[in-house]
Amino acid sequence: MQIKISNLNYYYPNSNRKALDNINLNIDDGEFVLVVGYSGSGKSTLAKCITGAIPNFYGGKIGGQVFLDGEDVFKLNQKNRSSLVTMVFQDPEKQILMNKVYREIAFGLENIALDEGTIKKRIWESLEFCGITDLYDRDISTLSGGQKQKVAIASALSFMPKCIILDEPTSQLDPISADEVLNIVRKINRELMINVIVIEQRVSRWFDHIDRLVVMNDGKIEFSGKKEEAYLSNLNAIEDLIPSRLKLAKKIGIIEYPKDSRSIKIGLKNIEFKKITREEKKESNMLEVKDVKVKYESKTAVKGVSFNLKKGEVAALIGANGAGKSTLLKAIMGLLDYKGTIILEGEKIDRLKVKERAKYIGYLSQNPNDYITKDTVYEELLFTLNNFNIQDKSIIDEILKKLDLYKHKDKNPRDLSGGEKQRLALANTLILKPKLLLLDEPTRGIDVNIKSEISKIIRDLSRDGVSILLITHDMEFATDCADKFMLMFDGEIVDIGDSRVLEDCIFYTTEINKLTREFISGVFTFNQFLNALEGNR
Amino acid sequence: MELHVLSLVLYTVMLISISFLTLNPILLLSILICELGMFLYFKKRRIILVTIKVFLPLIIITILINMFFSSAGVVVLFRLFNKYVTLESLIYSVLFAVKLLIIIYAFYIMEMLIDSDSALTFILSKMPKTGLIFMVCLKLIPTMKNKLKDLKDIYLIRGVEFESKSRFERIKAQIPLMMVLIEESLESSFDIAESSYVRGFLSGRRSIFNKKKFKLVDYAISILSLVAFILVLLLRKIIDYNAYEDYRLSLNLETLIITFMIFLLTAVINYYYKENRYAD
Repeated sequence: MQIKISNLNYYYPNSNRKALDNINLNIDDGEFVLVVGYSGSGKSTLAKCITGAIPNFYGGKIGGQVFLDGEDVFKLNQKNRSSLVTMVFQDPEKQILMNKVYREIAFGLENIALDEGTIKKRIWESLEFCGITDLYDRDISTLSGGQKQKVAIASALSFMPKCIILDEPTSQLDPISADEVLNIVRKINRELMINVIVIEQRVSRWFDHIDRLVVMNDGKIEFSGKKEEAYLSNLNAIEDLIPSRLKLAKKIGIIEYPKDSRSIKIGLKNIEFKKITREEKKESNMLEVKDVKVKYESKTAVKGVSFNLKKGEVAALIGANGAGKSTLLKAIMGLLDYKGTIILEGEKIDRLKVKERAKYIGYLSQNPNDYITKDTVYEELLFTLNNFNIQDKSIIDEILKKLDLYKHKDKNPRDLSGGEKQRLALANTLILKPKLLLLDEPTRGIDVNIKSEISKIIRDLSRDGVSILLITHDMEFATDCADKFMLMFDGEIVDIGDSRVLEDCIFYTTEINKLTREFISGVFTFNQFLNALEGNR
Repeated sequence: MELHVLSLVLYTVMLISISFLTLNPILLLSILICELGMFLYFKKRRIILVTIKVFLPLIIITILINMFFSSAGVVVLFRLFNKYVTLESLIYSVLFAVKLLIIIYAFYIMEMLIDSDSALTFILSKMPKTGLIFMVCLKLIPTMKNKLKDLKDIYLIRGVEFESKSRFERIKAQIPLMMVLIEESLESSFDIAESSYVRGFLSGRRSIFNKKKFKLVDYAISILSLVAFILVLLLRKIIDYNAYEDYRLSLNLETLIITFMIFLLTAVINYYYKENRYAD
C-alpha cells in the first residue's frame, strides 16, 4: 500500500503546541519503515493520524491529508479504515481485551463483521503464521509479556491489513522476547508484503531489516530516506540515533553502508588501540549479601546468593526474565522474607523493617508515575520527608538543584516530561540520602537522551560514595555506568566481576564489544571506543 | 453441547434469589446439596475445602453471636452467663450461616459455568457500549489489584504507615495509592478504548464468532428457573419457615415441587456440561 502524507499539521485538544508540523512523507508499497525520535517528537501522533484515531478518536485541530492507496484516510469510514491499517500498541496489557487468545483475535474480526467461517480461518492462520497455535485457547493472564505481544500482533495480522503500525512493540520486553517479536514482524513484511511502520526509541534491533528511516524532532520530519542514505547523512539527529556499530563504522572510515559485521571487523584490523586501564575500587564494603534465599509464590526464586558491593560501586544485575533479579532487590529492601544475611556498612539489617531500611537504602521502581500524587514537585518530596519526620527541609532544594529540577519546583509533576518524571522519582529516593540505591530497570521505555541523563546521575552518585545495584536488560547502559556485573540465571549468580565477565558472553554483551573484543579488551560503548582510539591518534 | 449464557445466568440468579427469599431448611438444604454435587461433579473439591476452612469459623461466630444476643424461643437448651440458649436461635443461626454459604457457592458456580468471554460477547451483541464498559472493568480490576500490591511496596519505602493503630491514619495512608490508581485506571481505560476503536469497535454491525444458539434446553432451563423463582415468591406464606414461631418443620407439596425443580435443573445443567473441561 502506498501511503502519502501531505502538509499534515495537528494540535491536540486544548493545546497551542503543534504536535505535527507540516509533515510530508511518502511510503512505498510493502516498505518496512522505522520512525525514530526523542520522546515527544511526534512519532506516535503521526501513527495515530495514519490509523485515523486522530482526529476521529482524539479530536483536536488537523490540517493536511493522509492517503492510503489514494483514499483519504479522514474520509474513510471506520470499518474500512480498520481493515486497511491497524496498530499494535506499546503495552500489550492495555490493548488485549478478552480472556482467551482465540477470543481476543476474534474480537477485531467481529467488529468488521466478518462471517464465522472467515473468522475461524483467520484466527488459525494468524496464530500459525506467528508460531503460537499452542496458545489458541490459553488464558491471556497466564501468558508472558512476549507471548501477549505476539497475540496482539496475530490479532492485527488477522485483519489482513495493508499496513501494520507498531508503537514501541519491544520496549516492555526482555531481549529474547524482543527478538522473537522482531522476527514475526519481519516475516509479515517480507512474506506478506504488508507495509510495516515501527516506532522505536532503540533502533539497533530493527535497523538492519528496514527499508526506510524516518527521523522526527519537535513534530517535524528531519530525515526520511533509505537506511544507506541515513548512514551517509551527517545530520546530528541521525548520528545520535543510529546503532552504535554504525557509528563505529563511520568513525573508522567505512564509506559504504556496512551490510554485515564482517566488513566492520576488517576495518578494525588495521587500528591500533590504546590499552584500557581498569580502576579497582579499594573502598570498604557497603553491602554484603550472604547466602540469601528467597521463596516467591511457592518457588525458590533466589537460591543462596552471595556478593559484596563496595562504597561507591555500581553493580549491574543482568539476566533473563524470571531469573530472580527483582526478587533479590525486594529482599534487600525487606519487602520479601528471606533466609541468609544482609549486612549494610558492617551492620546486619535482617531484623530492620522496610521503613527503617528505607533510611539507608533507596529503591526505585520501573514506573516514575507511581511516585506522583501531589500537586507540585516540592510537595512530592516534602511528603516523603514528612513521613520520616525529617525537620530540615533545605535538603529538598539541594536535591532538586542536583537533579536539575529546581526550576520545576512549583510545577505539577504530571506536567513534567518523561525524563523529568524519572528524575523526580529518583529525587524521591535520594531525599533520604541513602547509602545504597536499588534501581529496577531504570531505562525501560525511555529515549536515549533520558538514558544518558540517568547514566550521568548514577556516575555522579557513585562519586559521592553511594553504592548502586541496578537491574537492566540494556547492555549499553549497563556497561556505560557499572563497575561490576552479575549474571543471574535461575535464581543463582553464575558469574560476577568487572567488565571482563561480559567479554566472553554470547548474549549479554554489547554489539560494539562483539566487534572489538578480538582486538581490544574492555570496550563496550561507542564512547569507550572513542577513548580507546585516542591512543591511535 | 454448551448451554447459552442467558439460561445459565437465570439458573444461578434463581439459586441466589431463593436463598435470599426463604429460610426454609428443605429448600436451602436442597440448594446446598445441588451446589456441592456440582463441585464434586466438576472435580472442584478445592472450592469446598477452601470455603469450609474460611467458612467454618464464620459459621461458629454467627451461631455464637446469635445465641448470645437472641434469647427468643421456648426450647431452652442450656443457660450460659445468665443467658438462655434456645433451640430456635440455634436453628435460626445455622440456617442463616448456610444461606450465606449457598450465596457464596452460587457465585463460584456462576464463575465455573459461565465463560466470561462468552458473556461479554453476548453483552456486546446486545449492548455494545455497555459491553465496552464491562470489558474495561473486567480488564482493569485484576490489573489494579496487582498494581495496588506494587504501590503499597513503593509507599512503604516512602515512609507511609499502613499499619497505624488509628483507623483514620490507616485510611489516610491509602490516599496516595488511590490517587495513582485512579489516574492509571483512567489512562488505561482510554488506551483500551483507543485500541478497540483502531480495531473497528462501534463501527457498525458486529458479527459474532461461536454464536451460541438459544436451544430448546435453554428455553427449558430459563422457564423452569423463572417458574421456580415465581413460585417461591408467590407461595412464600405457605413454604416459609420461622424457627422462632415453630421450630418443627411441616412438609408441604409446594416445597417438594420447588425442591424437585431445583434438583431437576441442576441435573440438566450437569448433564449438558459433562463434556466440559473444568477440573482442579
